[in-house]
Amino acid sequence: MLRTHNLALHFDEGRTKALDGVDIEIFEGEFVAITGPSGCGKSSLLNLIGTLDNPTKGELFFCNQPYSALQDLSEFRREQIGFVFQSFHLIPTLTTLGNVLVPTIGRSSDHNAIDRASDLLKLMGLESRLNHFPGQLSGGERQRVAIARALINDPAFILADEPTGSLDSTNATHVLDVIANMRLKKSLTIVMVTHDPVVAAKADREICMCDGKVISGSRRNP
Amino acid sequence: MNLLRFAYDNLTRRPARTTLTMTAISLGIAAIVALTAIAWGFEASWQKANDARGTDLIVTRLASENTMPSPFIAEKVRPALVNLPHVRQVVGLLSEMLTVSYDAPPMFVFGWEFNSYLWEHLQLLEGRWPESRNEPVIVIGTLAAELLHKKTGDMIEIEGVEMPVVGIFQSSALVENGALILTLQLVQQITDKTGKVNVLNLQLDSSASDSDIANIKQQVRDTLPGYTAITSGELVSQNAVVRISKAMSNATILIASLVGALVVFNTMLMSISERTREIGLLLALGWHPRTVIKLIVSESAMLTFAGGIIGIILGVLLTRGLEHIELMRGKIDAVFSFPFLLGVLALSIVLGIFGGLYPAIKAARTRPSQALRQE
Repeated sequence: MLRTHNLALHFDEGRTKALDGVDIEIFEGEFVAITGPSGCGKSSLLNLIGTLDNPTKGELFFCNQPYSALQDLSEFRREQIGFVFQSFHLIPTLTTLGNVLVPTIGRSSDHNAIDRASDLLKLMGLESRLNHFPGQLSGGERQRVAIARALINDPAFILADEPTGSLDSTNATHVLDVIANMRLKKSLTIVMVTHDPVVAAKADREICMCDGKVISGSRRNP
Repeated sequence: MNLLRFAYDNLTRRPARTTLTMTAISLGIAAIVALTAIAWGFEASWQKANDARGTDLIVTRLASENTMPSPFIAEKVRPALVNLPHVRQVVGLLSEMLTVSYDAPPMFVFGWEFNSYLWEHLQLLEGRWPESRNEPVIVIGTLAAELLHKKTGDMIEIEGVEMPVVGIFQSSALVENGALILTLQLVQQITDKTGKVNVLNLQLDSSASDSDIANIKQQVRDTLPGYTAITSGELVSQNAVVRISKAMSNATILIASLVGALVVFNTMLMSISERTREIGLLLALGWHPRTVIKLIVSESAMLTFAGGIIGIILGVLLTRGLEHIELMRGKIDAVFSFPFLLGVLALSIVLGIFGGLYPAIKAARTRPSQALRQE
């Protein structure tokens, strides 16, 4: 489903190599954890997969179609990708429901967005929190709102950057359970960046990185 | 949740800045509304006065653009006018702005030819009219009576000559209500302008057509070099004070628009700079850069729309307040036309769109990966 070929991301005119010749493949429905020490290029790889950055070299493929052939990256992000961030990135002035609806704003043809958002929040166990503001929610609840937001447009895959990084262990476990449940219910492909081995152990496969290179797990074992 | 609701929420989350920006916009709009309404009112008030008198054409000096045209000797011009076709009456008028009481603002003192048609439109509320061309008496408008605290029988001193008030009248024109009227001969005498008038008013018979009026204008140009025959509308629009006040109102529109656009520009630039991470998030969540532009421009247009409405209300209240202060009473009769107010509101929205456009484009060019890393 997702594939990279010789992917590189350089900064400072090539002096800093965030990614250097990364070749990985992720299959439909897979739950992949990208691990490695700080600065190894995990988040850079996630940003490239999420089209938030452009590679210096190499190519990415989604269902065998090269990213470089995509006409509208915004539409690709909106239709195919759900993002979950470590620091939630909820908009403080919007309610829980409002935050989940943010990716649907500006889509004139989306008439049942509110129903979908309400259903997702119900699935997250947040049906009693629809009109609460982020400041009134716990860390775990906020991350569940962020997951609901990532799912609102029914994406093909979820990109999660340290989704449990700001949570205590109880909330972290709860959030991981929610992600695992959603994966099963919606047949999602999940790519998760984490430096926590306990979290990584929940994934089907672990891609381990160091100094911008993949050192293990680039391909699924047969 | 739609884009406009989201834009509205973004404005209300920073109430202090939103209020300050709206205040700046509304003050600019209020200045535009007040000055323009006064300029138009000034023009309309004079035209109303001329029209109410039943004057069809006004003969005046060609180069004169003063509030009241420069005086000239009436008898040099009158003979050439009385025999023109369709002319029923040729009536002299002399006007001065004079201080008649130390505790009242300067007032218009009109000298009108005794027994002429000029007096016919006035409604006498009490007392009587002057009974002869040389009778040293004054009639005053209702507003003048109020400002001067005078009633019939009281004395008023003009240029050292004390005369009794014999009547109080009402006119449909504010400028006349705030004026003192004497016979022409009396004003000429008091102001040392014997035989002089500012204008000669021509009343034509009812059969005069537009082409007849055009013919009369042409004959005046041909037979009276240095003089012109114009309609009251033309006289007023050529008036220097009307021109200056219109120029001032145009300058105010220009300056207030520039300042307004800059204020919005600055506010929106600050706003997007504070919200870089949020804008990055929106782009990451699949918002098209066009949608980000729409959001920012909607916010700035909402800001100026609200500022425009408040500004219009402020401008109307300010002008009405000015009309009632002692110094200005009887001198301004502001005109607020609905299309003008709508135009001002449209202007304020346009300011918002232009002021918000660059910040919006800047926001839309945000790189989501960098923006999301920003603290």
